[in-house]
Amino acid sequence: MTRITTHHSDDHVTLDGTTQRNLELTETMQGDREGSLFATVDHTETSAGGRLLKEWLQRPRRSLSVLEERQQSVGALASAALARDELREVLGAAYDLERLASKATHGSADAQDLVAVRETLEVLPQVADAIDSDAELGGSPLASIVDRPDRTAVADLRKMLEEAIAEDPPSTVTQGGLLQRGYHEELDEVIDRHEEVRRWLESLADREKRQHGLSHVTVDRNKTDGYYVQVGKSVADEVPEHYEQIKTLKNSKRFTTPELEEKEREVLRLEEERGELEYKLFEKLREDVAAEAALLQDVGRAIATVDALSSLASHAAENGWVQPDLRRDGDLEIDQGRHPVVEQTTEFVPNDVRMTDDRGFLVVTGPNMSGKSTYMRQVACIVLLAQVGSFVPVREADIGLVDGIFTRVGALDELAQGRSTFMVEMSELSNILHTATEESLVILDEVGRGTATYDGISIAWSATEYLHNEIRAKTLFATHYHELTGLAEHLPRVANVHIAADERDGDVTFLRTVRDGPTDRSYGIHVADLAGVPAPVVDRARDVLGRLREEKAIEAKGDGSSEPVQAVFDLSSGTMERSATTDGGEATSKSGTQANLETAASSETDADRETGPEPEKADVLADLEEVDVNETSPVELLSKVQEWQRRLEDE
Amino acid sequence: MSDENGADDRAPDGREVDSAAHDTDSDARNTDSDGHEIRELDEDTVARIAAGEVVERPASAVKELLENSLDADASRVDIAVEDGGTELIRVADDGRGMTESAVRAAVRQHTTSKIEGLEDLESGVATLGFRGEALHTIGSVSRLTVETRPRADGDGAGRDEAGGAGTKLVYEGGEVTAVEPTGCPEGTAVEVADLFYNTPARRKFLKTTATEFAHVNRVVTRYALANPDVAISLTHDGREVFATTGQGDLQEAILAVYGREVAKAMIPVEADGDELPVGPLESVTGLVSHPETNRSSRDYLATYVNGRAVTSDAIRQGIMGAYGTQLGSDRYPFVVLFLEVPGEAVDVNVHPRKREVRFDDDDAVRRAVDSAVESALLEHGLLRSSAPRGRSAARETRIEPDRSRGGYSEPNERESDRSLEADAAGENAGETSGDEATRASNARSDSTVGSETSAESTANAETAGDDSTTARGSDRSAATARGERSSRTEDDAPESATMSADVDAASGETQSSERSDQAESGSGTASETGSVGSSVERGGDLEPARKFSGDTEQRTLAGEAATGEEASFDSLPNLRVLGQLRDTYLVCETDDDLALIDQHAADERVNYERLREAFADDSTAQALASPVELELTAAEAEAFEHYREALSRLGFYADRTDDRTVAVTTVPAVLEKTLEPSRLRDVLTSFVEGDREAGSETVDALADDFLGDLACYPSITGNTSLTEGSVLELLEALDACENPYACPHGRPVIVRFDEAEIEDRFERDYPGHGG
Repeated sequence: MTRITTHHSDDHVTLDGTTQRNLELTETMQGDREGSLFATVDHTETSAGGRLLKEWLQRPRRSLSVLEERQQSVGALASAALARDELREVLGAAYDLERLASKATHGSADAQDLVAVRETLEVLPQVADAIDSDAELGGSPLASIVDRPDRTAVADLRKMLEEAIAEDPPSTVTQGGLLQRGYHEELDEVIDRHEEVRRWLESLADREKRQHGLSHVTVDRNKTDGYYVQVGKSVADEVPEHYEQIKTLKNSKRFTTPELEEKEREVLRLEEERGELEYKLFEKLREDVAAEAALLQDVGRAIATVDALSSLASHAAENGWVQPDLRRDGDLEIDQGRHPVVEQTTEFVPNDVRMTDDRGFLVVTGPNMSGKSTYMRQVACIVLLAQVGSFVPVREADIGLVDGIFTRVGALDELAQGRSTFMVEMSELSNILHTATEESLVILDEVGRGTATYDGISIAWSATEYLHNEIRAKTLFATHYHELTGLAEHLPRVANVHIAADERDGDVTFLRTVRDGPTDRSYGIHVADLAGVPAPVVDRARDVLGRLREEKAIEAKGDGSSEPVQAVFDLSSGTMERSATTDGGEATSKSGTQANLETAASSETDADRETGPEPEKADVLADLEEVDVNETSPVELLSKVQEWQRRLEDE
Repeated sequence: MSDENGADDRAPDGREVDSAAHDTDSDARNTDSDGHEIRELDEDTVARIAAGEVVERPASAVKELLENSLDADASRVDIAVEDGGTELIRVADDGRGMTESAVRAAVRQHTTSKIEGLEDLESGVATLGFRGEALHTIGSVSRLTVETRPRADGDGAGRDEAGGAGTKLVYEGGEVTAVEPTGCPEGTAVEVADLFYNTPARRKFLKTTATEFAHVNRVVTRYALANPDVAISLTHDGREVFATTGQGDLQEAILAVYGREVAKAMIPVEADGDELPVGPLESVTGLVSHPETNRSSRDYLATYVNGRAVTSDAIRQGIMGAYGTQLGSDRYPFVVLFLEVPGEAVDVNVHPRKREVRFDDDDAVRRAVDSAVESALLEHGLLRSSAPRGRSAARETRIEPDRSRGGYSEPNERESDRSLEADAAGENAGETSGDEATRASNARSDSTVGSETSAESTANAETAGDDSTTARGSDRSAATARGERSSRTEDDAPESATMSADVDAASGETQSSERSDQAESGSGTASETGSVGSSVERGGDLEPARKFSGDTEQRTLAGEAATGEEASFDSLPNLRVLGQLRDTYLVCETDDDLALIDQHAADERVNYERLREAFADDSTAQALASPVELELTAAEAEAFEHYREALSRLGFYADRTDDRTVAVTTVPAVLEKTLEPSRLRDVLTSFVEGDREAGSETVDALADDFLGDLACYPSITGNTSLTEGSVLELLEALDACENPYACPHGRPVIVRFDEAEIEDRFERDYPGHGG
């Protein structure tokens, strides 16, 4: 490492681990790399480029100037297909300079590493050429990126390496063969002498053959015997006198001669000398390279940046992505947006989103599996990509820069860690409510599940209010609680949208388009049907639903042995009771009820069977007096008033 | 509702029918002489028959659907096929889409949104698809599913109308079986499954997956190049074959389809109005490739008239004419050319598949195209007027005869060859040499040898040419010309001395020196009116023209004195070679007939069998010192996948280093020395193009096929029989073959005309001419 700089949190969009996971930024929920946003836009050619791109995704920027600069480069690259193609090929030859630099600094780089450094240094001028070859690219910020490292120093270093390191050095550093001829005079001499002796040894076999007329002769070397002359058994007897036998083998005999021994000593000595000298020189070379570590990092960074930008440009060109309009603060308007990952594998139905000052909180309702989550996530991904400087999968987009993206999506069970689903949810929610600001984007998916219905609704309701009133962040909130659609009437900046579904002859088709307004049904039963729940169960559920909607009593079907019993679902206690009171006793909700009978904040009536008007009035008045308006939430007050009204009516 | 007595018959639809009358009626009408009833075909059958015209194979369906998408103003069209399109074709676009009623109507017959009536056709059709049958006909021979949603207005106003729902329509066996709402993006997606499932005969005639896909690829490529502002992608079996970005740049489209190497080699063509010679064309624009970037197939000539992909001989000839001799024979450039013509001057309704067109004035079109392309090439300094590059090809076909006779000075050597041919060709000698003379003089103008010989030859040729044009077939002038030439050459050519010295056998060496001297000057295009060798040999002692004199002047090309010696063979009939015709055929006499032997076919056969043996002996693969990288076009890359195994069986191993690049790592040891990597691509291309019957795909059969194709490239296989051997050697080699009568592709090597046939032609049985 040559430098450590601090990340200023003001520069970057807050994107915590949970959000990164929820948006499947670098990994899917299942933990695969494939199918993540990064994998989708990653077309980098170098590992350094890939790393940089990942970093960009994980730390989107807030600075308009940085983003616009990146956009310009991406745009120029996206329209210069030929040059881009050329760049890709050139970049493919680059190695990871940052790693190589650190290896050199640690003294662990070998000759092949230095060759890699040299080759990569060659890439930079080639990249510069490719950029210059296209008028638009040459005029874009890319040109200055490539110019940033000191080009002369680069050329010099490259030249030095070219002159020093051999073309194809071995991987070990101690055995010579590392350096080029002509690099170092003394070394050359040693090499010459070494080569000479080696040649002598190599030609020995032939010489002996000719001189002594022996046919099966080889000269070899191994660890135990050193150099030896190996002669086939058939001719072993014809060897000259000065041959000393050292070993006998199955089909041959091994000999040595005084001359051979002498040469052997010489060659070993020379080998050692050469190895040592080369190693020393190599070390010096490595140190020289290490001294230039900063330069190498600069070059590496430049190459990685070009690579990452090219990757974004390629993806944009291939998938019809478009340049978003960025604003410092402002509305979010996306025209026909698509989810960047999902669009790869499906015929994606594009959707709009519009969030302004008067429309900052969207309550998203709709059937299960209809695409609520996808819709919200795509909004987050598009904003994220825009703040990476990339193009986005939209027809058109105006994006106000955010300072953080927060999500609470899905129910990652962490039971193993001793935390229940709900606990997790609440922690995440807490984090969001503490950290989000007016300039943030918040995505909430089904907050309030995992606990008793009323608690859930309540939490959802109050969280909504808080976000709306206090934090004022742009929020998308998907929910099953239809009651929350009522918020749009009470809170000014809340609006409803829903995912459309078409119902015809009892068949439901999810249209996957988003439209304004609340939905009136949840189609939960339909989904159950799709899932394969047995038909009798589905039919009965429909029946119950219908009746509940009409607030009729339901005949609880027993096992046939006893009389059917009329039951009523008492919303106050949440239980079924045998009761004759089928009307009036229950709080009604204006919107449709669902199979699981979540209802609007209902009154907390006691099954008040007291009769008599006057005592009732008095009771009501007494209660009224008791209520501490400041301590009671508006919701509760509302329900109390309703209850009092009812009681009064009942007289 | 009939009662038992049958007295109250009712027809099935409940009408009452007079049974008696009914019977007589049916007897009276509707039966032919054999008593078979003639019935009207039901609609379904009619549809299927008509479908056969329009939808011949998966590629036709793709074409129709793609045209519909383009007409619907799509900016992206994604095409996916499986198994070459026989299993599944899916074309999805983001165009205007259709409402439910619209799509219901669209699958009915003869409905179209594109023309109102015949008048529209005649005034020039503005849209691509106009017959109004595509969905209907395709649907009648497949299982068709259409998912469509109409496009909202510009400001999104209409988006929520019609519920924002799309419509899914299923059409099977000529009937709409389902219509339901669906969630889909704006535009239309058509899925064609199980093509020809109900016409097994057609299904059987489909070729292999690879071949069918190659056709699909060709179709989609044509449209992708014609519409660079539409992003078109093609996927096969899940693999993306190519995808253009739709950004409007033709060169980028070429990059996507053909690769970077080709894209970089393209030159713009732009000619309109005044720049064109007089004719119907309003403009000629596009891109053509540098002559050095070429292939051996015409596949990469994409020509368009008024935006429609067409083929036209006139256009093609214009293009090839412009390149002239810059391309070797059988080499074709990459071309994407757009012609604009007023609607009335071209007839597009020629064929149901709308691909061939007729021009009012073919010749004018050809000239215009030639001029436009030529000026583009010239502007980029690519046209030279010097020697043709196809020289080596000519050399391959040409047999250098052994010359032992002295007195042949160099220029005459070839010319004598020519003479024999010319003579053999009879009266046409004069004419041919006239043409050849012009060619030769063109060819020689920049000749680098610049020796006296060539200068003389030029002069000679021209003189000879002049003479021959004025006095066609006139022996005398020809003879004079010959005389002049020969005397001149005798005087000036220093080498002639050497010539005369040799008489016989040593011809071998002389041969080569002569040949090398001649190397640069006149290859196969030398001309002259030909002297019979002997006349020249006698050093200017000219006899007035003797084309074919008798025995004394006869000589075999093997160089032996003309004794009319016969060569005897084992499998071939005994032959006496009389001469060589057009550098291509050997003219021979057998015991009973006149035989013509196709030299090239013979050479192929020899080569093929030699290769087969060599491969059988040594099927090792030789690793190349450094792998050779080839950049392929999309079609070639796709084909490579299919034929990879067959190639590896022979010893060609290649790794796919990229979508479009393969690195050949090993070649058969047998070919290692002679193989030029770019030739490998040629062979791959031609191999890929062969239409193969489905089922002939065993790896062995493919490998054998491949060998057959290889045999056509002597430069690859190192075959020297044509270039260095003598005729006799070639024939001997041919004789040694297992099957000397046919080339590896099945074409004949020998064609015979027996005596009786010849007599017939001369009408020798006419009274008074007998004998």
